[in-house]
Amino acid sequence: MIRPASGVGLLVLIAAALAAPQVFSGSVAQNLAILSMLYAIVASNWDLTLGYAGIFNFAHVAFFGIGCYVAAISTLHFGVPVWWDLVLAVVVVALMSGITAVLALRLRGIYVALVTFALTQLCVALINSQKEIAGGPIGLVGVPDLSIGGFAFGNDQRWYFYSAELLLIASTVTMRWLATSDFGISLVALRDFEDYAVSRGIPPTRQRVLAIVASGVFTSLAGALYAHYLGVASPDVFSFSLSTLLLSMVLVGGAATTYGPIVAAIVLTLMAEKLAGIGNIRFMVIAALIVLTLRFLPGGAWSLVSPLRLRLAAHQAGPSESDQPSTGPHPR
Amino acid sequence: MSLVVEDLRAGYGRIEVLHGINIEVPDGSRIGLFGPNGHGKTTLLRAISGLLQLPRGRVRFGGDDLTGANTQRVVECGIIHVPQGSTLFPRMTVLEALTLGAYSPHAWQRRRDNFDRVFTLFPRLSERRDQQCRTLSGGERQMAAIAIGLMGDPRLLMLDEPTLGLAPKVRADLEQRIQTIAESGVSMIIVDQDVELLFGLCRRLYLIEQGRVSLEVADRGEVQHQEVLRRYFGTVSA
Amino acid sequence: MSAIIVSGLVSGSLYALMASGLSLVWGALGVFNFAHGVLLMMAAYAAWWVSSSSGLGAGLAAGVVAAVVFSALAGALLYWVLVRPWLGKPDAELSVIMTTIAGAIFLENLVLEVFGGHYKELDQVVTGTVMLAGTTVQAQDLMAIFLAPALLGGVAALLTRSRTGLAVRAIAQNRDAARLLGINIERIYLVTFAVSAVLAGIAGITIAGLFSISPAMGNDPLLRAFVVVVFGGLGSLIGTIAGAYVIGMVEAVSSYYIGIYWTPVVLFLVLIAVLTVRPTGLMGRAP
Repeated sequence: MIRPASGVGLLVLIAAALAAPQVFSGSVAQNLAILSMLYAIVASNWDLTLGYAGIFNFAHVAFFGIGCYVAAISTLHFGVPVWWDLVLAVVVVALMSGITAVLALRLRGIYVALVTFALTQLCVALINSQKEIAGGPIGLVGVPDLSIGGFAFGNDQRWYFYSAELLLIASTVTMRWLATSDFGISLVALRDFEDYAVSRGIPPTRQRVLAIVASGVFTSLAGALYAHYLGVASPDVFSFSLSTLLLSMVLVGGAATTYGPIVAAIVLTLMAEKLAGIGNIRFMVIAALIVLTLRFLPGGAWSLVSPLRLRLAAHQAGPSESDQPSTGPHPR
Repeated sequence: MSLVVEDLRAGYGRIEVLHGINIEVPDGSRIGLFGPNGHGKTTLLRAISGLLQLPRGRVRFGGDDLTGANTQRVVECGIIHVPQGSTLFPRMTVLEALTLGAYSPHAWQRRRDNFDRVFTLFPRLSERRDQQCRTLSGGERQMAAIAIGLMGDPRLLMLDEPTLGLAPKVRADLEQRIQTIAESGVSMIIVDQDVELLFGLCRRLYLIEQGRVSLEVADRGEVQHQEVLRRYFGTVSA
Repeated sequence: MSAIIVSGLVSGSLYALMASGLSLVWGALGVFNFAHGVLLMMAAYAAWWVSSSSGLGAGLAAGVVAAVVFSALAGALLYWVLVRPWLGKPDAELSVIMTTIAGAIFLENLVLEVFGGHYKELDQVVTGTVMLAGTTVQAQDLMAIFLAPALLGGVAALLTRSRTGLAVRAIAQNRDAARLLGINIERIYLVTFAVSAVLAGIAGITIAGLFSISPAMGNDPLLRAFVVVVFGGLGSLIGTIAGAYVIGMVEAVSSYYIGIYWTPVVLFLVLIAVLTVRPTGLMGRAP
């Protein structure tokens, strides 16, 4: 585990971050890098709820999409100054994730997945119904660039590159901090041994609401940045394809590892681009990867890297049903 | 057909619960299993009825080797396991549940006869045949569970704690009916806490402790009866 | 007014056909098959390819038969690859959501690769238009109105009367006890999935005759079926059928008064409300 708190490590990281755009030179490579970093943020934040907390929050993609649309709509239609729209995106998504959490946590198991899925579909339906404000099925174009002191980021792609990097670093540091803190441990405890955790005084609903809301912060910022970078907000951001891609990053990278989804995001985004030549087959490959990972490597690719993760994978693989006595404690 | 269990080792995943069990159920006889909870009585029944993975040792019934066979095959060979505390099928009627008991092909053909048999034995179930299982009382549920087992046309019936949680009067009633079933020639393995009940019904008892047979009581000699009670309960009853 | 009712009936019948397979699998296996939509779509393509002159040219009847057979096989295969390995493991239902989503993406793109994205047309089983309560409807719509109750009534009857139907219900209510009766749970699951796929396929053939065929044609029906199944209730086929007609009516009314763009919003709001207040749906039971 990288500990960025160590001084040397920090310097190396900063140097690498500054140098990166030189390595990824050329607009195509930089574009890929920016997209993969933004996806990495979304995926690693999804890992907080899906992996660590074990909450199947299908509305996470909507946090990204709403962040994107808030940025676009507020700057285009309501004259909100750039940068302030990012704040607005966080606020709106925080409200939305709070509502999601309250609704979802009243339910158990598969119903959580279904209600969050329904919420995402509701967002899609709302956006599709609003042609004037949200651009309907076509989307909104002309989203203004981010700018500092009059200099628009659109003039030099590297500014977006640095922004994405900064956001990714901030997000990862935060996610790691959360995951290794008492808060993160309590989430895992609630996931695996709920009754015991509750009996030890951990408030289940409060921790989970916090997890869901926390997972929305950087995700919404990534969405807003996405809108400014592309200059466009379209319903594609809620699409099944993107959701599946993001989900695959979490699963294939390794649930409850934070770093796994980041690495997977970069690899899969690059792969999706490389395979663009064979068209739709790349989605088939990603889909097959998801199934194969779930089947043979439930801990994800990261489990190959870290022995700690191997233990998690063994737990997730679980004993099969006919082994279990019908009475007696089940490790969940 | 006799059931012979030789040196059976089985358990759940990596945990071995049975460490070499040897029991025998001669054709048409009843044997009882008793002993402390969690020491393997239910596990033994589950091993015989095919619910556990990879048992070692031998389970033979008549001419068939049923070691590690799946439940479907075990049922087809005529061994029916009536589990403990069954919640039955809550939203099915008694009649539907009984019909289901005759699921396996050889039992399906004989279900008309078995309906008669079961309704004669348990008239209360006949009265309640169109009611849903979840509306039955505890005693009626136990009767229904056994009746469902009988619909499977068993050669060997295994009852796991049939009298658990029942009031004494209901228990005595059930004991009588089990006796009637026994008289029809069905072999039985009965697991129960009530050693007196077992003595009343069974010719031979096995005490299962720590996953092994620690005592075999071959007949109801008074001496052995006291011995069992002393070992098991620590005191001798008057 | 009667136009709304007729529209609601037609929608309701189509939704009943679409949703019943999903409901069957959910009731019997306790999993949500997100690949249900692509099963619908693939059956339509199978029917098209066998019947159309661009494919085998064997005529519609052959196409329908082929599609039904194909659906059964596809359903069985889907069960084997995407569902069975995860049953009995912890969080099985969530794993199956993910595997079936992956399966849906895989198959939709496969069909896109093989057949291309252009819309295809499938002949209607019954052609022409009919007057119903003062409104003109397609004859195929009328067929759907009769087909849905008949077909689903048949399935419901099988569930209550037949040996296999009893087994399906038994497994859903008490899996361990069912196993002890000698029921082969795997085989029943396989059959259930195959039947569910056939129901999806019939829905697909019906819809294909009314609209067109495209690789993404299963997505909207899947969403509608999702709403109906949750609304109607977990594991209750009757609930699903009732729910289908209620949702069909809600949609018809909403489309008339608020317009078709707002209708999905209304539907999902209704769904979320149901999930919040009564997660087991109209006629479902607590799991």
